[in-house]
Amino acid sequence: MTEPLWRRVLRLHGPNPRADVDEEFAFHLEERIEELVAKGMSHTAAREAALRQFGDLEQAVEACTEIGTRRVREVRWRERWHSVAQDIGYALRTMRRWPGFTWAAVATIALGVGANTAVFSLLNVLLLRPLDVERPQELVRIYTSQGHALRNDRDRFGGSSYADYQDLRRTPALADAAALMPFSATVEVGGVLSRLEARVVSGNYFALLGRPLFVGRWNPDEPGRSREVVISHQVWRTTLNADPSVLGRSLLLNGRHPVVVVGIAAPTFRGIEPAEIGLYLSFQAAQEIIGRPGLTMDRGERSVKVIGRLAPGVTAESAEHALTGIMAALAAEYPASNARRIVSVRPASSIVPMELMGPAVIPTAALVFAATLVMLAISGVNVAAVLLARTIRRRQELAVRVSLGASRLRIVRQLLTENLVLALAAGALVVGLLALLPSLAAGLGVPVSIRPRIDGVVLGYAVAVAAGFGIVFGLAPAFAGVHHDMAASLRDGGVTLRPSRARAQLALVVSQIALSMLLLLVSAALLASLNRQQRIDPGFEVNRLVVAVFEDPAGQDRDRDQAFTALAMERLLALPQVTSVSVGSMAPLTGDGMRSTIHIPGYAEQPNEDMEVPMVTTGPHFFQTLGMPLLRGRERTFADRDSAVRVVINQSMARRYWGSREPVGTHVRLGGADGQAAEVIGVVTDARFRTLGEAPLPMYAVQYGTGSGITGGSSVLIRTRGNPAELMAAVRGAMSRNEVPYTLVQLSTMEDILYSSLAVSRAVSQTILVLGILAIVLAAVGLYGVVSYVTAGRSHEFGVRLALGATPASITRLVLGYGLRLAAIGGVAGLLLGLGALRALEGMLSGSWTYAPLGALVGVILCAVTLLACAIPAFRATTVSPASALRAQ
Amino acid sequence: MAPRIPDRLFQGTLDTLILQALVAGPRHGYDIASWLEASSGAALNVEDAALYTALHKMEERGWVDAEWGLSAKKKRAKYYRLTSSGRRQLQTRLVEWAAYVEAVDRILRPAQLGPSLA
Repeated sequence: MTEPLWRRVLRLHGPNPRADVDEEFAFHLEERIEELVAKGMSHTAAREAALRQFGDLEQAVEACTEIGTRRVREVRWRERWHSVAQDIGYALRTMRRWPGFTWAAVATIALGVGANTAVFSLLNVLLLRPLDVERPQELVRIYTSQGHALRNDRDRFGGSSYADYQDLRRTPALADAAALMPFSATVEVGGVLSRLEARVVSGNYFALLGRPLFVGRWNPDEPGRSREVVISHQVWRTTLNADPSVLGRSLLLNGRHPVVVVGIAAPTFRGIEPAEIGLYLSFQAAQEIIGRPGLTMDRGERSVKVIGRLAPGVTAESAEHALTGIMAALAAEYPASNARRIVSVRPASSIVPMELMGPAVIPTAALVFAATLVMLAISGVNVAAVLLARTIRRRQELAVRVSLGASRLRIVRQLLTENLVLALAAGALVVGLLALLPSLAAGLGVPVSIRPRIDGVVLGYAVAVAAGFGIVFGLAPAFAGVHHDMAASLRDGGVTLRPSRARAQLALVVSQIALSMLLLLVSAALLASLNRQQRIDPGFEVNRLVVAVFEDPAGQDRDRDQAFTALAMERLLALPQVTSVSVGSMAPLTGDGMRSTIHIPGYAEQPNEDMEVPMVTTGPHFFQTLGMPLLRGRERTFADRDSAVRVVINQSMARRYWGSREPVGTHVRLGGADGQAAEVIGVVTDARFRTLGEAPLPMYAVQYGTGSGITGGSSVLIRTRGNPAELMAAVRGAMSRNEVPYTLVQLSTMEDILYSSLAVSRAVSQTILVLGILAIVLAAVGLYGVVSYVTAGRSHEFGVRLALGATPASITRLVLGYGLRLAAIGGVAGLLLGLGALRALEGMLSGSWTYAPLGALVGVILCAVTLLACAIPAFRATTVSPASALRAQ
Repeated sequence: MAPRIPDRLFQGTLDTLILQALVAGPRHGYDIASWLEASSGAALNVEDAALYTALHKMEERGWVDAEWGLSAKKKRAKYYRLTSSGRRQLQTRLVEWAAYVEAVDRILRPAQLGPSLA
């Protein structure tokens, strides 16, 4: 039995267990046969006897081959791991040998990876993390909307009525569905009034989410149990001081509605919205407390959000299809409320529901994330440049190792391991710092459901980014360790200081400058845009205006509302410094506000045109108080004693729907063609009522007069001739003794509202500015490094120049010029990148732009930083002693 | 000639026998088989397949080391050698075996002689 040739060839490429076993057994059989033949047996008989004696040959070959293969694999792994461990050990020793370098590199990497991972952890919790419930992938959010009035996808995500919810949940496409509705509640415990974010939920809410109560049972649908409520674990622990006998305890809700606590939600229950909910009550209870018997019956009352669990095997699309059938049947049955109502089903994939995902959320998140990616690249390039310089300094050591028999690949691998270990050390540092993020968010009062958490995804991301960082930015320096003339390194001590050798460093430092320019330019543009928005004329007088928002803790009640408004007017107008007071459904810049359908006789509607127009309801003197001049006509005043409802429209609305016709004196119909008629009595100037950024939209105000008892809302506007901050104290005092128990929920100056309406833009531009500053500092350090390096390499030349009569000033100019040339290349590249980025960001920047001043500004910053970075190398170059420079040659 | 011993009795001790075979020095598989046959006075009938499977397993456990060498007749053969851990293993097993034999012996020998003979 000879070994086949192919097996012998294979053996050259490492151990071959099968061939070994074959050869070993062949030898055994030959020996045995030989012995038996020697004893006088025939060859055939001997062969048979030998095989018989061997037993199951096939099986033995198989078993032994398997064992051998296993061993070979094991040995290979052990060798591999051993050499990796060797590399890691070597890397750790190298890190200890250059502690300063190690700390600087780790800190720089941690900066880049940390900024990026921190933003990622925010995106993770807001957009990526599944809901913290049982089998979250089965959950869907169900919306209804007016099918003909969709301007964009976001308009699909409207609420449902409780009655519609009851019909929709019957579909076999859903295992079940739960309804929930916002509710704001106060409870008084031990004389302290606490406001709670509450939710009205259907009785199956906790069961649907698969999150049983911590203690207690809640079955509000059973007769006589509708006034039973569930509180959150947090409210039990804090507001109720962890009262051990809380079950059965009675609470007074909103001052006059007794409810009984029968359960506590699980401590880890975070709900399905980015809010911290303290109390859950039933629809039955809400209906009684709000005092609207139609709440669960009226199909026009669409304040319910529906969350469903898909039946096994059903997708969101097919569920939408099934629900669309039910919706069509409802539209046929209840045309008054449900005509053209459509249903949309979307996977409940994240804590932020579709309807809260404003148009700016994704672009803003993407911008900040992109900025941190640029930062990551900058820190990477920075570290790569330093690693490269160090590798060059180590060339002699590496050349020695190669000459002692290490393969070049092995050297590259070892250098790469060093860079990876550095990056992973930084990754560990980042994870350590990120662990502080949740408690930081808790300190800032971020609801628990959207606090960034350090989960497996974030950890994995941090490690992956750090490792990717180590590989991407470690490769070039690692190859620089072997791709050169190693013999020359051994000869001249390794440190070859020739500018031509610094090409890689030059490229790195130039790209660093370019990227930091990009960040600076973008942050400058954002800050300029912010500044512009802050100085934008909102169309009303911001100064000396105070906004007080009141809320009826008992829900909406028209009589109480009128009594309260009349009282507020009287009390506030009596304050000496107050010049004008009014009420409205909302104050400017405090939200999206309402829209309501309006029919305008004489205006030819397009088929299916959306006539839902933004509106406010107001009391008399609303525009006077805001300081908005009326262009034509008038607004209601206290002198208007009639109870008719009047309309004031803005300029854009007049232009859009009346054109050249005179609006004042015409009658519109509120709520549609068969709605209530109301006379247009005035046209007011346009104002930025909802956001500062948007262009003025058509908008109208429905004004109530004193004859109808003055209602219109509970946002009270107060104009003063004095200091608005002082007025706030007076307002608080005037409204504290109050026969009508309204709660003051917000009191601020209009200036503060304006300022905080820009809070997100401000936070974003400041974050990017900080990143830009860090980036330019890193770039300056990089520039300093490369200019020093090149200058040191040319010290002989400078010595000769000085000896030949060059002045120190001319040497300084030479070095500075060199630095500035590098900066100019990077700066121009950065400006081009930045202009591209600004073009992409056009939608987020307000107003039209000329980029020249911004470019000039960052150009000046760059020049200043460059001169700073080159000052020391330039000074050093002038101090070269000509004699010693010549001697060194 | 001693009676032939059935397979089931020595299956668990095959490892020990192989280790013992290697005490004197490295042997190849055929040599071990011949030695076992000769030393037991042909009472032990070890199947070669079982012998090799046991050898390879012990190699994996690190009790024996294998190396290719040339046999007396100048043929390539795989030689097995005791490792120090194999030697320790053998020591333990010998002690265990002695204790086992003594215990079993104490029970079985009186029974074989029988009280009727006393």
